[in-house]
Amino acid sequence: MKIPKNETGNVSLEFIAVVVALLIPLTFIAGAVSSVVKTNLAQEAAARAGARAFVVAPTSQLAYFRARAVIATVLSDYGIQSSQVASTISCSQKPCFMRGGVVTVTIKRNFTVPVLGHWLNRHVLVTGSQSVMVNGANS
Amino acid sequence: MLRDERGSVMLLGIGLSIAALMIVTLAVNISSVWVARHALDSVADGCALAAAQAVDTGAIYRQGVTHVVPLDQNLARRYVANYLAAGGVRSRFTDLKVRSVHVYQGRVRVEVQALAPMPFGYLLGRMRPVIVSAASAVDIAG
Repeated sequence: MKIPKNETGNVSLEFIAVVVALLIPLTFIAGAVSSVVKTNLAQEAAARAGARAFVVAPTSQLAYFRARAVIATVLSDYGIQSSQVASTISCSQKPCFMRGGVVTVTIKRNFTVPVLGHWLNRHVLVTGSQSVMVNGANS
Repeated sequence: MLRDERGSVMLLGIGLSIAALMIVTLAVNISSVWVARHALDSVADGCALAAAQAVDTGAIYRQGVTHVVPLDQNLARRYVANYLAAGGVRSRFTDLKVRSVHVYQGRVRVEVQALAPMPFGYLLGRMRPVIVSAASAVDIAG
């Protein structure tokens, strides 16, 4: 089989083209997507645990304290500091501990997506939220 | 052996670009559906917890307090509707619906569904997957 002279080095060029054009961007995109998904799951889990801790607390003062403590614990399990997020606890009724009332815990984080190291960082607002009805036995 | 190979790099580039776009689209769509499914699990959980408070007081007066508190099916449906309305849950999903609220022997099972968010859904045409999630709860006396 005769190999044309003018195709010398094509394989290495095409390999470089594949790596640069396809694999490197895909690696960064996969990393960015998985980071966002991971932080979203962490926030959902923290909101869920916080809302549950809130509604089963015996008093409203203890409820806020326990909910924030649980949220911080769950977030730290995922390697997120509680200072990196903004968590809010809202109630559909005032006071919160009323039968039929719904408590919503929302955790927001301005997440920095690591794209190409620190060159092209992008900020994404990731939100995790959970609503739980107040337990009738506590109201 | 081809004599004229001009244009092969262009073809390779186009082919790779299409493959890369397809992979990215698939990854983003699957991640999005997965996250939404997880959020819907939380909603189903909240619905089940709300429905588990629908105590059938009539049954308690008739039979006394049992270990598993009897639940009222209609009241459970109402509690689920109240929960979804009060918690602002509907605004987080597209076309969120309660498929069923079923009370059986003191246990309530709630099934909810919503349309999956697809950032690149336009590539699928009119197909839009429905995500379904279910949760059960039971109210124990004492």
